[in-house]
Amino acid sequence: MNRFHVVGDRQEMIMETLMQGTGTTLLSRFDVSSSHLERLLGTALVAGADGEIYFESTTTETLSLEDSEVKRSSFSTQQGAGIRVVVGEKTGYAYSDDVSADRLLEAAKAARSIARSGKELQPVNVNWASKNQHHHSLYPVDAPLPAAPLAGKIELLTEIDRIARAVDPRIVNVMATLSLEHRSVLIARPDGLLVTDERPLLHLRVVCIAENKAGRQSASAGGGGRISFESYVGNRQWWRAAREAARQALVNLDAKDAPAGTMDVVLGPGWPGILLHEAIGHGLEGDFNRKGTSAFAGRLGQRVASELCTIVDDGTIAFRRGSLNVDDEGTPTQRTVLIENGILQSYLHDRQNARLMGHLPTGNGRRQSFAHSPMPRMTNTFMLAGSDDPEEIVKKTRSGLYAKSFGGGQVDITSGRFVFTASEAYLIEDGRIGAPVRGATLIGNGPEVLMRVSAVGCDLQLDEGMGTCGKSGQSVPVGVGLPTIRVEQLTVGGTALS
Amino acid sequence: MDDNSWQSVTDSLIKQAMHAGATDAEVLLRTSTRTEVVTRMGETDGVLQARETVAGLRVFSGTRSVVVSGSDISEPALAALVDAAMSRVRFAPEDPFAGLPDVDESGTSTPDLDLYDPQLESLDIEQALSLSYEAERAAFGVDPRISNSEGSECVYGCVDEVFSNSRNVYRHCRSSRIDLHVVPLAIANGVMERDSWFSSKRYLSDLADPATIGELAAHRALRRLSAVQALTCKVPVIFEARAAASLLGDLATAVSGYQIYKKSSYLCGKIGEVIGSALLNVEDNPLVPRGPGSRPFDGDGLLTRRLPIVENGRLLTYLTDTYSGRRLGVESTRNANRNPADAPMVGVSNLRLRSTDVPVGDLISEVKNGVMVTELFGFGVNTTTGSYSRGAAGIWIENGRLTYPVHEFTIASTLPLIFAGIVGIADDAHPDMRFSSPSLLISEMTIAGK
Repeated sequence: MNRFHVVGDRQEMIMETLMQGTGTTLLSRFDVSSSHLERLLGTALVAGADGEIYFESTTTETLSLEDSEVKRSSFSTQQGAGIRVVVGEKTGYAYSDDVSADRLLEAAKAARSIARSGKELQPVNVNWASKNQHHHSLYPVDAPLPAAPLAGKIELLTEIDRIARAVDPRIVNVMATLSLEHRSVLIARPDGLLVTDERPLLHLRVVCIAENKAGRQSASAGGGGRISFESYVGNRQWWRAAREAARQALVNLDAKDAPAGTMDVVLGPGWPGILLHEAIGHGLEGDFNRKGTSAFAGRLGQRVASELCTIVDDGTIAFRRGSLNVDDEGTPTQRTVLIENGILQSYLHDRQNARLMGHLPTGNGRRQSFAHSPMPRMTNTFMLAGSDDPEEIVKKTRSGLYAKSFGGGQVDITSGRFVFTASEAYLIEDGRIGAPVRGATLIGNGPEVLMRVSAVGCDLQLDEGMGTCGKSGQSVPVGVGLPTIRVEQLTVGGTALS
Repeated sequence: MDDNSWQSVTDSLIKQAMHAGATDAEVLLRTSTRTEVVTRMGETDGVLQARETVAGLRVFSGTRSVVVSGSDISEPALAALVDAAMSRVRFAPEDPFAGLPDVDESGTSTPDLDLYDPQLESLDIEQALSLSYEAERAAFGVDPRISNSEGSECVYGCVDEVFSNSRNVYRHCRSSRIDLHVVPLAIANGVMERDSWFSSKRYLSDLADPATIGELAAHRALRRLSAVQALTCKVPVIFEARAAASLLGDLATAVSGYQIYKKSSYLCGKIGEVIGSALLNVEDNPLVPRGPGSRPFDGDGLLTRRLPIVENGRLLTYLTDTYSGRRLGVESTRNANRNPADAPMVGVSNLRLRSTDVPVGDLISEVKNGVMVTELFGFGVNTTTGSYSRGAAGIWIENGRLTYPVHEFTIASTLPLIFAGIVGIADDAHPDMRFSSPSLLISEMTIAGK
């Protein structure tokens, strides 16, 4: 129990900074639960069961600018606890945003009810000292992001507006949204693990609308990460985002309709890594593979990509949007090689699916919030650099499409079919980048598309930090990355027939 | 909780905010309970039980405003919420369009839309599990090729939404819902395809028969087996009802007052103009008894009304809330959507594309060579420019007959051309969807495939 109080004290300190003035700090409530924590685990987690109690307190501030002024501002605090009981393939989950002792005990009983399987089960005894609490420190927090002075944030958004409009008079509107989040989590498990994590998350999105006589185009850019407001202002990524959104909207003003049909596609570095996320990432998540519902099920050790492809999921990169010190089940994150030289090496696991498949957890058990049960999710997923010169890759492509940036993508993991939409793309003509095209959607089949990667550049880039991944109604922040690559014979869904 | 305790929370927040110097204040309080059960391969996979409370407070100080929210509604937490709002509103910029609605609709009356089934308050988990089992079992019973499943899910719960503001408005709506959704996998020759079917109702007794849901889902998955890639071409396209509903979602985005005043919609300046085929009629009706998206009042607290949006192809109105209406110089159409944690935005209730009495088979028989799209995916719709290109799966049509399944293709055009190209409308809208459309026949789109 001693260990818990050490953690508890730290939690209390942070909560007090966060919730100053709320009268009832979350910790004073956590404290109620601290004396009840063992009882909760004991009630919820019967022998032979796994699971955890997950406490969370999240403060979010969002500021939006339009018409050159910050028009919307919201501030929310959310707290709650989720209690999960896992028996074999079964999960019982109960959560409450009322973290009073009685309510949590009720939740613990509800979660356990699923474990009623006829046999008499004994409450567990928890030995807190049995596990060390040591994990990464990838994003040390000085002060919660929403605590930074409001004036500085308004100034930043106003400056972004000025910079984007200064790019060209055809930029007729700029919308910018800055979200700042601080999330404190505490995870307690029956194996004695007790861990806290303080997670900052900063996100900026800039949308520019460009207009000329022919019409109107919009484009967006953004970025951020698990960093302080001061260092974000200092690194000037926001400046790039403002200019990038404006530039892309202008490019699209002059773009013609995208072609329709099958052709070679060169993907630029960075954000186009969303291809990996959709085409193979989701298909490698442990739950789908345990259930046999993924197109990649049962294919470990087999070739699923050209030998030029090595793909990793790495939750341990400092300050990245997709990184975590521990996942939402308390497992430290790691770098997992998914595909090495084209051979499938590993799935992405949470604890339950790892156990059921006889694998080790990979630190990919994530959840949107306390209101959700964790499941295998990606962190930062990217392809390692190859040896090709990016310019040569384009030069050696006789004709096709060069896709520089993308909107969203989606995949049906069962059939493996994925689709994603280019927000900036150009025709490749005789090995040269030609006219911009708009409205290009790429469609393909996950297990096949990476087999057709015929060149991998030496220019790996991670994205700017703007990815959000949705699965079964849960959104989590993720990162992607890619060097320049060429994929032969991908279907491009435009409107122009050749 | 009951009306007295809710009112004491909303009154306390509004009184404290006004006392602290706010010129107006508005509260949205939402409490909900939800149970989700998932079964898979005849076993219980998961059970989730939840209860949530969130109080959102919007305060105005002249033309400055801010929204704060929290999940703790104890007295000290409410005081802290007011403090947070008042300390922040000082820094908010002035916005001459901000403010509570001008219309005087003080009072507490709200029409009863029959949205609450007390049976769903006390539905037993075992009962929900058996609905879920039955739907999946029925799917497996259809054909041996249905040999795996993503599972079957039954979700039910109740929501209390309480709205109040400093102009003597207090409204309360209690609603319930139950959803049953099953996702079987059809497997043959090493290929897997999945599809789904569902029912979503306000009353337990209205829920579709679980066996029927399971069988429909199974047939949908089976008909996708042995699909080939479609060929690149330009042909007529039928959007099957569920896919057609997504077009209504795109239309709703394009007519949102916010997109209009930000000049980011292809429908800017099109009021009174023809934006689609003469067959196209669309309305938003929040007052449908037991409707999936029905609501007696909107996120600004205004009593809702039926709203024709497109009549015989002509655009009649944009969708506005109080704020975007002021930006555009029009009255609110009472389409404010309010999440307690944010200022209102525009949203629809039950958006309906008017059906005909034409069976979908008649639409199919009009197509010599084309495709019926049964599923759309990806995000290739740009409502600023109207460009449209989405991933699709479906069934090829030859000589007026459905033939073989096709996949791995995109359908592309523009929203103006798609709406103008509606040459047939069927009778098969799914009434359980908030965006509900029957199947639509579009004269021509570009298919990109092999």
